[in-house]
Amino acid sequence: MKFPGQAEVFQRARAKYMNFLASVLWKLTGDRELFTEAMQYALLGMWQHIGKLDGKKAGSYIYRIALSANTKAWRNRIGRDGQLSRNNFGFEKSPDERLNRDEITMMVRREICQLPAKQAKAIVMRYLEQHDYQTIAGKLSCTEASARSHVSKALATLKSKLATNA
Amino acid sequence: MNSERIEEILKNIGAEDTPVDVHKIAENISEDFSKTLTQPRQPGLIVLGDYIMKSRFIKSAVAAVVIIAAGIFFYTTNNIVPAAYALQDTIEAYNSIRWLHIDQSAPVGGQIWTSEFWFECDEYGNVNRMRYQTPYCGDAIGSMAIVGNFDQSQVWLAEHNLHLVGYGNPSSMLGFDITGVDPKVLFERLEQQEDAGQIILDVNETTLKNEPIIVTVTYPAESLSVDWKKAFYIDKATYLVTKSEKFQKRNGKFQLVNTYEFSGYNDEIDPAMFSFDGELPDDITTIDMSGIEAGLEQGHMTDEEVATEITKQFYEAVIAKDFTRAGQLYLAAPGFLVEKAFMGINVIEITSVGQAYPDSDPDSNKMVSLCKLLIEFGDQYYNSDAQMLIYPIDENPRLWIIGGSNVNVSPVSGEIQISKGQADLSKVTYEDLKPGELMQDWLILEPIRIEVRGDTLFPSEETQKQYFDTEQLDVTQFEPVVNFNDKIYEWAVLENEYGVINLTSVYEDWYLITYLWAQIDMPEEKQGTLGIGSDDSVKVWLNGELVHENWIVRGTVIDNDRVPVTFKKGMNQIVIKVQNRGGPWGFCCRLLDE
Repeated sequence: MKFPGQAEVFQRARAKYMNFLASVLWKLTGDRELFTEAMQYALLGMWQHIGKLDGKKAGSYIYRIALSANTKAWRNRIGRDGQLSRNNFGFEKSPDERLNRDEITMMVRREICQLPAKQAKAIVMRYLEQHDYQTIAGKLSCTEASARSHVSKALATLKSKLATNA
Repeated sequence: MNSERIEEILKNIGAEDTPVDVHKIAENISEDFSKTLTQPRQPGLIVLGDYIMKSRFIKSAVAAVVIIAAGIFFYTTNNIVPAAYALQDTIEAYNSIRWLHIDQSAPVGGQIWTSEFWFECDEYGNVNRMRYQTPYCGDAIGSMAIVGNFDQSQVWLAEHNLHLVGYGNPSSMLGFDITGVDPKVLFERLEQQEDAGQIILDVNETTLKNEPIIVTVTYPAESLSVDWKKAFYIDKATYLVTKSEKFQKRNGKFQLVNTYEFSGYNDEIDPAMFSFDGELPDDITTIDMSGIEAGLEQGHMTDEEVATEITKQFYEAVIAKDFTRAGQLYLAAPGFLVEKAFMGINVIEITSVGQAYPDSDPDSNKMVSLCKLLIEFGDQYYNSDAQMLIYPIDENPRLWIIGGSNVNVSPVSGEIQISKGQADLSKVTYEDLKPGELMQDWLILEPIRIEVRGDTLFPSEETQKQYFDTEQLDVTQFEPVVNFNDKIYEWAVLENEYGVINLTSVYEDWYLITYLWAQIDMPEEKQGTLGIGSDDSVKVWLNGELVHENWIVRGTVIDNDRVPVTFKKGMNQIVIKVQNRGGPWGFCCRLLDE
């Protein structure tokens, strides 16, 4: 069976998704070092799974690649046990101390990378890309109600995770 | 922190523009990566290796993988002890899995077919490299081994001494999505399906330390897969799957159709396993299949229409003996292999191709198309019901291929005429019986019912055997009427149009016995072979001498039994006793050229 040249398909996918990846990964990382790392993982992911970026589900798979790249970049930073080295961002050790806005934003980003795949995709589509629920449902191949459910679950998870840190 | 606050933060993040220098960083990384692809070396992991080592961050990731390979098995959180098992636990457990081995077994037609998989996965759960091996996958193929990665594969058919290279994704060759075998991908799908209400999950987690967590998957009443069930056995310590079973409801009961046993987690697999280098015989024939234009393009057809169309085109190609085209549509197989698979069977015509429908198997993306055929084999005609499994193999353009089939064959039976009150042997005399020609005219004795003794509804096996062992007439001397147990039984002339003689069409009751009588006129003494088919038990006499008996329950197949005999010069009396031990019944007899 003929399979189109892998490099050519990759170049097409790169041209198509570079802006998307740069935008989403920046919003998910908010940090140039993390972003650089996530971008490299994303390109590797694209290359390794290029077959999936040449079909009908490519639009959905690119989110998976982006989120996986983001997770791996964050994981290198925070460790596999999910515990952020608070010193990395200068977090105050006492929970009573008020966190400033940038720190909280960074915590939200960190927690997004630990959400279940579908919830993470839904959050990215809803808030980082500002898609409506109809579009999200289309991209996730689910009903609009399910898309809303994914977003609500993700918010609830973030709330619960952040409540212990804020 | 409340949800509104989180939403506000998320909205702020979403409103951020990407700084110009970040775009520049992205472009630089992307350009660097692209350059590695255009270097004059074979694209693949070697090139990626060069790229990987340019990044200190990814270097550390590679080191982490190496450490995993060296024996770090599982990752568990230190500070969180989950209250109850969740699918996510298993998905996360597989983040650190790179190698695994799977034993598959499936009952097929009273036998157990086995196969093995070796997988090397990436952190996405996708299969980077794989090997599949089975000692037997049908008479036409024999043993088969496949090695491949996510976009190319090669096949070794040892019995055919054939090495096929240049195939795409191994899933296309195997006829199922190999990523669906990987528990990580499988559990991610289950999680999504549960979210969407497509499955019902039941988690059985006992407090006993050594007992596995059992996750059972069933399907809602409105689901196409309502007759399927899956069970996953999960190790409590590691959350890895040790075994999975798939069941299908048949006759109201769930029956096991497939078992996967998972082992060798992170036991590094020798890279040689993913290649045939050094394994293939020197004289093997290698065929490059990369030039084959495989499959049928969907165009504007619906999934149902394309599945029906490809089935039709496949059998049209087979009828036209265009096996090259048939192979393009069936697993992109070489034409001669398809021809071999038909084993000399001639497909005469397509009787009908039904509307295709989606396969109910929850792991299948296939369409099922039912096709009725008239086929010929060994000078005899048969009806064939073929169930074809069809699935898409490529998306751009969307191509479909036939990836498997189940075929049932039954002999074609013509109409039987019974003329009673004609005990005339001259009407069933064969003067010029040609080898291979089925004997279609017989005197048939009105069937004798096997009596039921006691309070049972059916005669016992013992009673049936007694009737088989004892003759209800004198087979050495033809008598126009038969007196058995004070009842008179008469002969009638039976004339069959063609094919095997389907006695059910004239005597549909169970537990009957009949005798068939004919005579063959031989110009001289001759040794020969009688090809006898029967449903069920059968006895044969030639000139009053018992030459064959078979106490059996079976369906009629031409030449079920081959009986060497010696015909005398002149008229030879042939008598066949057929006993129905339940269900349909029938027989056939012919002289073979042996």
